[in-house]
Amino acid sequence: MTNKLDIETRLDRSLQNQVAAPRLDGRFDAAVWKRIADEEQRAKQPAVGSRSAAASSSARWMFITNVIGISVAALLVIFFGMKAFSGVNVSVDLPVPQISPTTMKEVLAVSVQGVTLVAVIFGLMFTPLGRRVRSIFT
Amino acid sequence: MNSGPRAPIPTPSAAMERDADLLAALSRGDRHAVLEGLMGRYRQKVMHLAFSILRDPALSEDMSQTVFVKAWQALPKFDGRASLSTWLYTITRNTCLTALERERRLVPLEDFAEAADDDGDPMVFGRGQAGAETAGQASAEYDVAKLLDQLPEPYRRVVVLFYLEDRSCEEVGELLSMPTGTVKALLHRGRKKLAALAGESEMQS
Repeated sequence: MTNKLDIETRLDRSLQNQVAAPRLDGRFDAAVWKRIADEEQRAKQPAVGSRSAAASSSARWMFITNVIGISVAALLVIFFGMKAFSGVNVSVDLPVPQISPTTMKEVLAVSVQGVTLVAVIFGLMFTPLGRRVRSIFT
Repeated sequence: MNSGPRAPIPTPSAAMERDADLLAALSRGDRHAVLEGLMGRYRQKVMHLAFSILRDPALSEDMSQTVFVKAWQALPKFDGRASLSTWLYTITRNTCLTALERERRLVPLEDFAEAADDDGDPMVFGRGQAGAETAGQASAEYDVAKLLDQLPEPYRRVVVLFYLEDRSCEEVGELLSMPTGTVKALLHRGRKKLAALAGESEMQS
């Protein structure tokens, strides 16, 4: 039967011989410098470029939709304001096209399909694939 | 207990004195010189600490590189409250523990040993290191990978670091931010547990 001291001696020798980690040299330093250069390159160029491009694009769209929204709201305010307070009867006769129920049904069906398609595409835009595709075009 | 060659325990001021040139370079804003100095002095220690936590040579090297990249990025914010080495070891521990958590890597040590045997890498709990020994001596050794795999933390980390760091409890304490007394106690208990496991394995075989 192996005694305790013998086990501890053998264990110590085993640990000494078997516990070892890779030795690092100049190649390690070179790899670190390369990673730093890559990180700095990445931080400087594409991220900043795409972020500012995305920001300017969304700001432009925001401005256009705001202008449209404010214009429509202003027109409605003027129209109802005049009607309610000035006593001026503003009548707008818009030519309403005559659509048969069958055509209406077809138009509705096509519209529903169109809306569904747009919704699906809109959803896909936020998937990883969609983001990649968007990044190609922006 | 044989705890090998003893170096004086590095107090924060001693460690700061040791890195005074790097601190001077940092105050000049020479980040390049500081990182070069840090890598020259601490790359192997960072690797050892990473290896004791992750137990995977490739991942440990990758994380050690990440540590120095993080250090490069954080150097301008270094406030000098701790020594550079303590600061670097803290980054190492946090980086490795995050990596360990993220990848949920609890791969048994024997897998590394087998992988090392497969690709001939002698540095993974290297059987290759025992190559100079005779076949008789080698067979008299325990399978350390298997035994360490059964040893719970924090004993395992302390035992691995102790043998990686030339059996210096002070160095292990510095790397793990632990008092030397705690390291000695953990090492003592860890080795007792390992010996018990080794005895059990002998009884079974």
